[in-house]
Amino acid sequence: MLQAIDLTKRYEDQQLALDALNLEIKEGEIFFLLGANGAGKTTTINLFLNFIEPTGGKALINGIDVTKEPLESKKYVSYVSENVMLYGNFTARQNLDFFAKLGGKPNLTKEDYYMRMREVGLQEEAFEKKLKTFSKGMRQKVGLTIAIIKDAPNILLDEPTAGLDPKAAAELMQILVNLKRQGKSILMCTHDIFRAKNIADRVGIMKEGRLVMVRTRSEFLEDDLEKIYMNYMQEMVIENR
Amino acid sequence: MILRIATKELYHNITTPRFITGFVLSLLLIPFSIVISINEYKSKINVFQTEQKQADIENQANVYSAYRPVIVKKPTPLSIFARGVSYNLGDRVKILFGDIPMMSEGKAESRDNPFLNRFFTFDFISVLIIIISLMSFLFTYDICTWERETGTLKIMLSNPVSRASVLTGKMLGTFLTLLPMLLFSYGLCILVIMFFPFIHFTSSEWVRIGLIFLLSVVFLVLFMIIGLFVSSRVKHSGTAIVICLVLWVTFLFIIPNLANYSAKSFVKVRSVENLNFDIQEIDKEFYMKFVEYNQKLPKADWNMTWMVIGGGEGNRIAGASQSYFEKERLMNIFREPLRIDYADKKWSIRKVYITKLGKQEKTAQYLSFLSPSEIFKKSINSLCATGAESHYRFLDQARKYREDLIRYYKENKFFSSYLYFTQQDPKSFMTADEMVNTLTNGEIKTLADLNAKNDPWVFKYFKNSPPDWDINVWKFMDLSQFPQFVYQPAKVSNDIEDSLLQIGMLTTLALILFYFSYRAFIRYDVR
Ligand SMILES: Nc1ncnc2c1ncn2[C@@H]1O[C@H](COP(=O)(O)OP(=O)(O)O)[C@@H](O)[C@H]1O
Ligand SMILES: [Mg+2]
Repeated sequence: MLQAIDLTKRYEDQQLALDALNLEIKEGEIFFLLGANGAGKTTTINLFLNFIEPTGGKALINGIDVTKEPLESKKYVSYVSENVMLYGNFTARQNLDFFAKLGGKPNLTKEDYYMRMREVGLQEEAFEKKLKTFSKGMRQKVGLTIAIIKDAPNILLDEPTAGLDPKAAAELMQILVNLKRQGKSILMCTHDIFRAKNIADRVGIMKEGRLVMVRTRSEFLEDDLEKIYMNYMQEMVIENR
Repeated sequence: MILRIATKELYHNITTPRFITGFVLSLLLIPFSIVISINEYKSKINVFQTEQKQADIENQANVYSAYRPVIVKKPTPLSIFARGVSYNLGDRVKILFGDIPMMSEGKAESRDNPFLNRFFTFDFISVLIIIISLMSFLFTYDICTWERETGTLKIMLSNPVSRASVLTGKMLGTFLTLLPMLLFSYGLCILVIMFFPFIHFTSSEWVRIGLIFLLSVVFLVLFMIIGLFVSSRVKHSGTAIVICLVLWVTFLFIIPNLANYSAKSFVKVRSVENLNFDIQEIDKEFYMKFVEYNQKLPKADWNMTWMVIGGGEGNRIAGASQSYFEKERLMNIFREPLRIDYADKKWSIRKVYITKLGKQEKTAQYLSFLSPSEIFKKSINSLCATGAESHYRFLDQARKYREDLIRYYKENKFFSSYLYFTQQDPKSFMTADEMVNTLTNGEIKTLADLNAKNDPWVFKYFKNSPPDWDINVWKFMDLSQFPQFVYQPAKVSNDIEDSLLQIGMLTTLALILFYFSYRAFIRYDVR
């Protein structure tokens, strides 16, 4: 379970990147956080991972305050970042092996790694190839495998579909649905509204650090999510003028 | 966890081209520098042996005044590691009573071909400094940045590992990458040295080599931490490498040169010519004084000497009249202590000069301590006994030996003895008339008779001379009771004490920088 309570981040340059976010993502729930560039999505994820300190409020992972017990909280969360390069001189399997061991899975075998890579749809011949030869989509899949292997109850994804072709993006969505069925809490940040419509249980729209709207699946299927989203975006364009 | 990250870092490092580059670089430069250093040492040994042979001949004496020993300092094989100032300074000192030694003679530099351009000193340690510092920087300038750029830092830190472990692990991994390079360099060096049987290390020298190695490890770690410090403060690798390169050039080339230059302009030293002029004035004064005294002494009955070998400090005289010998003896009683006094007078001027030089050197030294590589070089030079200190030490001992020798002369009243300048038995000394009689085989009885001939070329009347009037057949004296010069090299413990300050400086710097890098890394923006 992921919880944000009045979570606030003001950067040193006084930029209020996140303004009192209150959010709770339950087990077996996929939450899509939508928003334009600079809305505060990455800031939210970085706060959950304790990469940055909140200036107010707190973030909880499985009830653990991430600033108070950062190492403990990180046992319960996996992370897929946007545009991962990973270790170019290591093979896909070596990358997995290193991060699996860091994530507290020291006893996995080669077969385990292969199995997971097959699950995300990586080609067999890529398993023992150096990552620097991989395409962006393939690297993203390895990044996803790293998150899956950790088998943590919470998953944070920061624009994982950026730069993926439609087929790869669709595969990723399928994997997320499978993970959700296993009871994971999933927070996915994106501005990809079409995917959100497909699989999200709830959708939040973020604007200038504020969560301006949250809709459940049944709500946003009734309303025209795209239209709502576009309205918010337009407002911003007008304001910016 | 730290070990896991270290292993990963190590593996990453050795698969990068810079690792191969580093190895090739050390493989090319290290043997090159060692061969050059060994050749230099070899020629220094040759010069030493020749000089020693020459000194052995020169140090034989048939009268006391002729014993002005030449002492030669044996070059240390450790100069293969660090040449220090040994190349700029001579290793030979002649012990005179009339001068207190200020500098040694016989610079190695002046034996070199002066038409060849002097290149950068290529001793082992200079090359090692270049390799270690360059490699340390190359492997650490992006130690924080590259994983930020590949995004792996974020993924790592999304796991239950602290930033402290990540930093320590990465540094350890990099250290383990670079350590083999260092071991390899030293191994190669020792191996090459083994091929030359004329190079011998004593056990204390092996201890020093061990210490030099340890110090190199400290130096490696320090430069790694400097690289880390830069890396932890910037966001992009490109910025880091530029800063590191600037630091590298500054530390290795700009600071040492600037330090020497500023020391020269801060501490002004008069020219040697200027100094020598003053010295000559004092010498003149000394000369005037003893000439004046000489005129006060009663005249000898005859000024003829059968044979004189001059030069140095005092003549060797044979075949003079008793009164001539006696006058010479009285002269010596006056002149030799005066000579020693005047040596002290000259020393008081020279001491100011040499102290200034020392001050200049110290100033340059302290200014150059702005550069960690210079601190390192300094302590290696003390460990190799090729630094300025070791040279000061040699000269101090030479001066002390001179005092011992003078004391021995005074205690044994050599200055007032005839043997100070002649091997003729005082019992065989003759009056002028007896001499004329002997020389002419009795044909001319007195000096007055000889003078009466009014012949400027008196030698044609001389038919016969006693054998001990020939200085060339005089025997060499047994000098075994004389004080001997034995150079006492500094104890390892002394040199360690000397280099302790530098080691302390390096370690403190490393710790401070590591602390700040750590703090920066804790707040490091992972995005
Ligand atoms: N390190 C930082 N320092 C100052 N401002 C930042 C920093 N990182 C992000 N911001 C600002 O915070 C706001 C939110 O950024 P971010 O969370 O990255 O947005 P998103 O991921 O939704 O595109 C932006 O206006 C951005 O300029
Ligand atoms: Mg973002």
